Amino acid sequence: MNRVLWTLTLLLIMSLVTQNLVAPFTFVLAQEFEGFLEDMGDGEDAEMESPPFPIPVARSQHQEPSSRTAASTSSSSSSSSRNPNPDPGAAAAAATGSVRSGKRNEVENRKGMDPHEFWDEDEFEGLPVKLGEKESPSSPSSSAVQDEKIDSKQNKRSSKSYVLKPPQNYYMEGACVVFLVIYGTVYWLGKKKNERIALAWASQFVSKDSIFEKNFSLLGTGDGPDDPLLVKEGQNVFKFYASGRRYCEGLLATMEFQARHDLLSRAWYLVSPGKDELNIDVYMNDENMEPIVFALTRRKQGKEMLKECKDLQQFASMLSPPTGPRKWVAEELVVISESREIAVDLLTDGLLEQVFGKKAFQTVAPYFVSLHFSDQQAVGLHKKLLQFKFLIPPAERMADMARLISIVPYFIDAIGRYKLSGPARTKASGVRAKLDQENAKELAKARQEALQKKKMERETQLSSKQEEKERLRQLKKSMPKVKMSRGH
Amino acid sequence: MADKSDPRMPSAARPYVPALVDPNDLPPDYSSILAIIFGIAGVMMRQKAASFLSLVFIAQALANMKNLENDLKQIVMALTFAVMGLITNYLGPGPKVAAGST
Repeated sequence: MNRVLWTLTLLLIMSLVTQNLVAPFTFVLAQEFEGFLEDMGDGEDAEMESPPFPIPVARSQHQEPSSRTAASTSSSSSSSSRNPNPDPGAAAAAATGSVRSGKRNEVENRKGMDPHEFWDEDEFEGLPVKLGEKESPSSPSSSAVQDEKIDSKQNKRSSKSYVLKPPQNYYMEGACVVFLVIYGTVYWLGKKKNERIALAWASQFVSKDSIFEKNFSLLGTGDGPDDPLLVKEGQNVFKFYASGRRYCEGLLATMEFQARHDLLSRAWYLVSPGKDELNIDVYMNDENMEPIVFALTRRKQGKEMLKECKDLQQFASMLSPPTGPRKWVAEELVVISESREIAVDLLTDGLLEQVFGKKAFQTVAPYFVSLHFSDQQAVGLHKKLLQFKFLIPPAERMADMARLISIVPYFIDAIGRYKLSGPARTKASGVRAKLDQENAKELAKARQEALQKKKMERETQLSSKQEEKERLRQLKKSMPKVKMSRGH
Repeated sequence: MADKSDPRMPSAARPYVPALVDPNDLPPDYSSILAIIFGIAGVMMRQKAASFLSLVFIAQALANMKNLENDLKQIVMALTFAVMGLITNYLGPGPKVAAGST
């Protein structure tokens, strides 16, 4: 999941970067288009100042007549002289509203034309000069310029793909190639480092006279003595198999290192540091393990384990530390067990003193994750399983986890020899029998339901066939009847 | 620890049998999926960046490859798309022509 999150963020960043790369090109092109517009002459600059829509211009034209009519009423003599109507009677009527309406008509006719045409400097007095001046350059060219503007906008839009091509720079290409080269080197170095740690682990614990060699007769996946001890699955997963020991069928250790070979994952580790994990699964012989469910882990992880592991959920519960002088595990650890008896028997004084006690745990604390022993593992072929989870120290300090590794054979023997007391065993087997019964019931139920479903399907198929036949038969039967009735 | 006798039992040794894993149960390989998506995007939308991003994810998928046969199919597919996208972007008819035709 972490990797997914990281790739998504990277994706986001990359898309942002590419957008930024593209943006300047479009800008440059917009400039070009403006240069193209400059051919239009001075009108361009005026257009830049004038508002893009003709509405305010029209409004000012509407304002104009009112001011003009006001002027005309104040200086009626000049307006009557300009009046095209030569009739004096009409000139007399000009004092009333008729002239106003005539003027208004004239102004409205003007709208489509050049206002300069009818502009007489001497005609009106006391009129604000600015209004006319400001209006004059904008109104004639405004529509044309706006058309041009729309054209250029459309051009910009349609030429976006055209924009990407011409200014050739190879920043992105270069960055990608450099990134891939760095990726390659990191891959090589990370791979080597993971291999080095795995080999250091193997030489510490699997080589001659080491702990695994002393405990298992078969080491590695092959039969021959020269076969490799470790199996590599991917660049950061190594497996080690051992078998041939009392009480158990085999042991599989899986080392999962950080993805040091993957640059993107490594970058993610800057945000949330990765860990080198070692999971050891011991497959116990069926006859050598009592019904036991037991786990030991850190307090925080204990809750998660109780939620995630079905067997812990069903059989075990978190134990509170015992009151009294009895030794117990370190404070940061929590014991999850089927019964207190199991926990007390498994966590012997010797073990507490050497590994899990208050003082001893400090030395192994950085590398301990959890223990989980169960005879009810739902996963895989093996039901009786001891699982150890540790963290792997750096290659130079591999000996630090020697004590943790040594508890693996210790627990194989301890669990193999362990016998539950009478009442505890009856209780444990009773719970398991009950659960088995329930499971069997559920299984039988599911099986029956599946059978019924099949039957139903078959029946519906059959019945539909039968119905068809029946219908035909009925039809045949009914036919002569009808005929009979006709015969009557 | 108490028992000093040799715990080894050669008679009980069983050879290693790798656990069978159903390919459908494996977690999805996000990097190769992303590589394919970006590869297709690079071809369809004529985005060089998408093709290059696809290449990056191909590199990641290659680096994290575990099962050779299973993963290689997807990676090869993504690689075809990425290379196709790059070829159409750099060697193919320019987008200018494409923009004119549309």
